[in-house]
Amino acid sequence: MPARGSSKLTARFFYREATFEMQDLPPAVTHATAVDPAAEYRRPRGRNLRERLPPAVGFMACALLWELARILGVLPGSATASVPEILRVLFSGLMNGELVDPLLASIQATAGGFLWAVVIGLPLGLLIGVSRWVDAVTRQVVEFLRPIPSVSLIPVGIVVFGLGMGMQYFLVTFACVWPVVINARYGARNVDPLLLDAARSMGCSRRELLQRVVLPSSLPAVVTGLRLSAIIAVIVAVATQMVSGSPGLGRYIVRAQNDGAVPETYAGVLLISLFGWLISVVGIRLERRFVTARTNTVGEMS
Amino acid sequence: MTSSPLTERSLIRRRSTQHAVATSFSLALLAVWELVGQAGLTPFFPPISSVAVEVSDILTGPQLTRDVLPSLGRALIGFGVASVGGATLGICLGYFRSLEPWTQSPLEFIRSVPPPAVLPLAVMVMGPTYTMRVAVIAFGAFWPVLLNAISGTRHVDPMYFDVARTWKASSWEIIRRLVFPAALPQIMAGMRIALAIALVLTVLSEMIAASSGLGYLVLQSQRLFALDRMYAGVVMLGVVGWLFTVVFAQIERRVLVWYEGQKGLRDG
Repeated sequence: MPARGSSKLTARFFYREATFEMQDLPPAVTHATAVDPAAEYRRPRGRNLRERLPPAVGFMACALLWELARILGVLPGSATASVPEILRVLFSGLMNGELVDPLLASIQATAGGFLWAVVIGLPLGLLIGVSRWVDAVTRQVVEFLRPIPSVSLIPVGIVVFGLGMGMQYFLVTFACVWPVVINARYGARNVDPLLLDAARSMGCSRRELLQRVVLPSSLPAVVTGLRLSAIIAVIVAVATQMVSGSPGLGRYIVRAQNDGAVPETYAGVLLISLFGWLISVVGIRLERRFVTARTNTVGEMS
Repeated sequence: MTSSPLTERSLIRRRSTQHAVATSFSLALLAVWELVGQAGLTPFFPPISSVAVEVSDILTGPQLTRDVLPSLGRALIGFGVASVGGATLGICLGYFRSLEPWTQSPLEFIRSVPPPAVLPLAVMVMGPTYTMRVAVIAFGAFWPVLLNAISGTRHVDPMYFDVARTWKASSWEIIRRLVFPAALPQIMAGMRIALAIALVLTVLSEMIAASSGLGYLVLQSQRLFALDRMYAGVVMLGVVGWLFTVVFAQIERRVLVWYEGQKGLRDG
């Protein structure tokens, strides 16, 4: 079958840069694309002491600076907690379950909203990318909705969905659907025309063209979009929980702060940061798999 | 590739048809919204016309100086602080590359702190003040600028450095006259993202321990079930976000005129 050959071709011809930006729907005034650290830090993690030492020292230096600022009174001692104290509270909170429930709720909101964003955004983005008509028709609506700061919809979410998980899903989905849509659109739109022509001349049907050329070609851009939106999901979930008081680490942090429970507040922030960090690290790993396929061919093509 | 006038004309015709379809699609959505609101099927969606009336009330009433303008001010000041700080630190970190192994991991971790979560900490440390809000906005907007400045600095063509050294340029001169302009396109790309983040954090910072601002207006309207006003706030924030993007794109184009030309040269 001729199409089989073309699908092998596609894998070798990713040479366009996937876009990392969330700002430019109209391509009119793009100058430089904003980078994301994933593209930068491609170097594998060090395994030996020589390479592990500097990051560890860096973290220690941060902790020491923090303690120093507290001792010197730059930061008020009553509103900050020492690093060991924060770690102790974090550990005991995880052990006795006080932090576990909020964490699970945050994970649920993040994951649920993210999944909805993928389910809605991915087909929509690909469709917009493939069909110029759909693009033209939806563009105005997208351009109107996208600049709305997601957190300003928290009150709307509360009114329409109440204080439950549904509201959190709605807000997280609204915020993180855009990177998915825009990157999928970009990926589907910027398939190498040569590949399309090649596949067409080999007699691919429309469906085969989509399956074997457009989808695989747009994969790297799509993965980038997914990674960005996962990070946004964490941020918006926390913000939503903070403002609405629906369960999660955001609510935990705000309550701890209102109660004057200083170490608990910091422990909550640390925990959600660890979660966000985990997501971005996993995302970078996943993306690297797809990005290497693309970068390997840069030399050949340009 | 040159196209014949005929295809060009048909292209233009297709564009305008698409535009017409798009506009009617948007108008249809608005009409559905209006009809649902008028019919009173649900209290959650007041008709869009009353939302529009509310917007004009806000823009002509005391809320303009109490809520709208201070919000914009906070967002822009925070954005400015973040841009200057991020660009400065980023150029330093990118220029002195030996710092990288020590700073990279801590920076990556601090960057993962969800900016909203910093807000309660800032309230605790600094109290519910104007400075606190600006600081939180600046914290969130700082990272994209920083990362892009680092990357932009690193990717300066090494040949330029050789040229600068041949001319015996000092470190300071190299940074000011070579690194900064060369990294600027990348820095501005980071600033573009930072601007959107700044607006999000402005709204959020006005929803916690606040008594004024657009975020406060929206949240307070929801609590009072003044839904017209709530949607009016959301619409205005959307417009502000859109305006920020458009104005910044214009500024970017002005500032980076030279880059556009250079890019064309390099690609072509």
